[in-house]
Amino acid sequence: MSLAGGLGARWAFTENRIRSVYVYRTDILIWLIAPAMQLVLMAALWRAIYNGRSTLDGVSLSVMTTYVSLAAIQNLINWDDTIDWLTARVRDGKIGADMARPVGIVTQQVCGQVAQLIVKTPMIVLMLPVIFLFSDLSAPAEGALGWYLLSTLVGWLLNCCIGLLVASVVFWTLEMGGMEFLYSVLSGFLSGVLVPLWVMPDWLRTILEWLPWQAVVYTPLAIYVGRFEGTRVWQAIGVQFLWLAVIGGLTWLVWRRAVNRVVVQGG
Amino acid sequence: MTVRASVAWQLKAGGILLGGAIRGMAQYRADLFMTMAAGAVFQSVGFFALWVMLARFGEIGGWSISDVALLYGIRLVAHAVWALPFNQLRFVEDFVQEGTFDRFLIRPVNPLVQLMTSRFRLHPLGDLLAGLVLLIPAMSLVDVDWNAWRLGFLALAILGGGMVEGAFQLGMSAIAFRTLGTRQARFTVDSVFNLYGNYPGKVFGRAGQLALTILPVAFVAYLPTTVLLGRTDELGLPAWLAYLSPVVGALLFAGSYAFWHRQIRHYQGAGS
Amino acid sequence: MPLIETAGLVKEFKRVRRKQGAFATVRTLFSRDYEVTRAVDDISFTVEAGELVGYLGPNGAGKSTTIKMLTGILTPTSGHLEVAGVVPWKHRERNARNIGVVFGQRSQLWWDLPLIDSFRMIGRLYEVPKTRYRENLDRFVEILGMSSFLDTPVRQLSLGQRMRGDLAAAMIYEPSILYLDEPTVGLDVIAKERIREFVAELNRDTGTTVLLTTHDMDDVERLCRRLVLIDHGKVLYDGPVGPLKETYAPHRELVVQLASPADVAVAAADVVRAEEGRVWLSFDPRVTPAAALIAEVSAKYEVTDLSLSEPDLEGVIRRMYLERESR
Repeated sequence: MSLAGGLGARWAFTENRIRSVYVYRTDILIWLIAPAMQLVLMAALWRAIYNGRSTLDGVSLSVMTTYVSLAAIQNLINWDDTIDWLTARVRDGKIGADMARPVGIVTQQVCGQVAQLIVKTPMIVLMLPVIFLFSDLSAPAEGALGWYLLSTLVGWLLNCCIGLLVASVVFWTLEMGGMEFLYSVLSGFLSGVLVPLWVMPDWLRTILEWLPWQAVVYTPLAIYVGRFEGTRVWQAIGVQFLWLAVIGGLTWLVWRRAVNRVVVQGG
Repeated sequence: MTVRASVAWQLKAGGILLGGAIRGMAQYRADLFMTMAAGAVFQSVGFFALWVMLARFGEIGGWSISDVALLYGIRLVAHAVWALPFNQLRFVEDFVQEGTFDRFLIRPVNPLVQLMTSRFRLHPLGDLLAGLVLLIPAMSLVDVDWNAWRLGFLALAILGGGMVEGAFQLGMSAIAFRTLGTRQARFTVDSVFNLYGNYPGKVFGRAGQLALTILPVAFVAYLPTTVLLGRTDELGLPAWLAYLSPVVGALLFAGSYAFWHRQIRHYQGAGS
Repeated sequence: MPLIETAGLVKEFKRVRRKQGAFATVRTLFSRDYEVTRAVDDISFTVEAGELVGYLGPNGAGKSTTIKMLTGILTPTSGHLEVAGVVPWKHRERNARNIGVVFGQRSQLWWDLPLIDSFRMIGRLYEVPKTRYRENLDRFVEILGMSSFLDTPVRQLSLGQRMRGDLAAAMIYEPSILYLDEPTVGLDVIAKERIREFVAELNRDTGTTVLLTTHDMDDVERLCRRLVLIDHGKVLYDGPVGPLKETYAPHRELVVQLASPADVAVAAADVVRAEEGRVWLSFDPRVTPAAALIAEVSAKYEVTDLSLSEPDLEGVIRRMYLERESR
């Protein structure tokens, strides 16, 4: 398949997935409601903890509220239904048909993730009223905006890979049995969506720093609010790329095994 | 038939139907553990986040972490107490579409009882476990003298709290008779209780606290906890209202049940 | 005192026009944009104890809606309705004890449990005394031939087996009224006959009142002495089967096989069809008795074989509806 043809097929597939996302229009608002409500809660909790003080432990209130606002947006962008979709396709046996398509199965998942990103990006606008009513969004630290955007992109890519890796378990166990829900809740906490890593006790923070999830959400946010500065910023982004390479490679390997397994077993 | 005889009959019939549901659930045991674990984690991750925050900053709105644990625990246990018997309520729409609800209306048993006993699902046990893990240690850590009266109030508060939440879920199930597609509404209501019901209303500011009292989320656990902790003056409401939390729960549930009963008249049946 | 009494029964369905777009649910809930359909438009009839009544009509005529009101599933918009002295939608549970219902499309049995479990639970829910339950169960198992699959989960039963199970389940507590909604749909010929036999026996031996809705005319021919025909929510005909046939399809058909093809012309009959020596003749038996026609045809032509047919009910009803349309 020529490059243009290949790209065309991928885009057609993505378009299809976008359309199918919109068909479940009613569910779209759920994707927005959950992070928005979480945001209102976290902002309220922080404001109550600060109790009128403008700075606590060297960190200002506006930094905390900015953090939770951006975390909500990250949450909105990062969460997708790849795992649920894949589990359903395997359970219904339709995965065989998916594998027979001209576009590779992994590419299909990626197109699906891109589709959902495209759908959700305009929804960020809907978040803004919630942010301004209940929370705060201050300007980024000096010179941080560009790095923040880069970091967010890499973080999103990393999140897609992690999602694909976790989803591939279904090829072996055939049923996730509620694990996907557990995973989405845990990954939220592990990535720093609820609490910034710098607030956590040392032992917890150290553990989390060795895991890939904080590279998805915490790193870009820490860059934005200026927690990481100067060389620390490049270091953090470097770590993100490292994780992307490791997890990406692992995902590729695992999916190759998975696809072979399905073909051998006949779907 | 007297009311007493009729309630006795519904309980007996419910028992028969529940037996059937239990015998029919054999194949679903597989993912029970996972679902329970997922529920428990989902409910408690919020508390864990707050615990991390308070480990560094001490207290929130004058509440220590054990105070909040008490509130959180009461709310989770109240939720589980309601969810264990009533968790099938959210499937009303499916039952209507499959025609199963028609079947409920031609049997000599209350359709709500039949709905509740249609399947036996134990996953709210995860929530119960999480709630007890928070509640029991909290009870020993807080500055409360646990006498018979307080323990009795605690039990009533848990029951009443469950009924507040239950009243809303029952109401939404009743609405499902007239319009399908209540998923968004149900999700939002669930989230309001799950997210905001666990914390002292005070942290949401005056306006927030008032809002939470009017949608009566605050009655589930916040108000009863202020009674137990002796903090009713922070409510900005008359104290007796907090003492009557269980009654509010019962009234709401009774009203919701009456609404449900009425709405069955508008039932349109499952396609034809 | 009739067992089932309906007068001026009306059922309107208000369907809210669903909204599209954001918060569709909320907006739909508060919408005032309704579509009203009158599924049942002033229906009145009574049924005496022990009758076996067929309730017929095209799809969408309001049959299912009427049955659902009679069983208590739907609440009438207006009109009077009483079954065995109980208003069904007001006292559902009391009404439930007097009725047995079999829906052809959906089962009343517990899907995941063995058939015998469903019977046991129904016996307990309807508080059937143990000895009566045993007697009825044994009798039904024998008549309907269910012993081979009593322990099979309902979800694994064939349609015919499930139907028999549903019938037995409906009757095991001896209700005075049995509602059958398309009970033979999708069954093979033998299974259909078995069901019909069972219902006929039930009505004959125990005096169970039966209200049957069906699209299968053989069901009606076999079982019903009285028909209620409805269309567009109104009763078109309510009475015995015989007069219906006489009014709307008085013609009978005589089919003759000739030794050699010939143009048949007979004064008393019309040639409906002629094919390779076989001729279909339509005549009015009130004007020309069948015997006379046969004699005339045999005298004029060389007849090797002949047969006489009744107008089928389906044709009668079709004619009736057509006539109604053209009016």
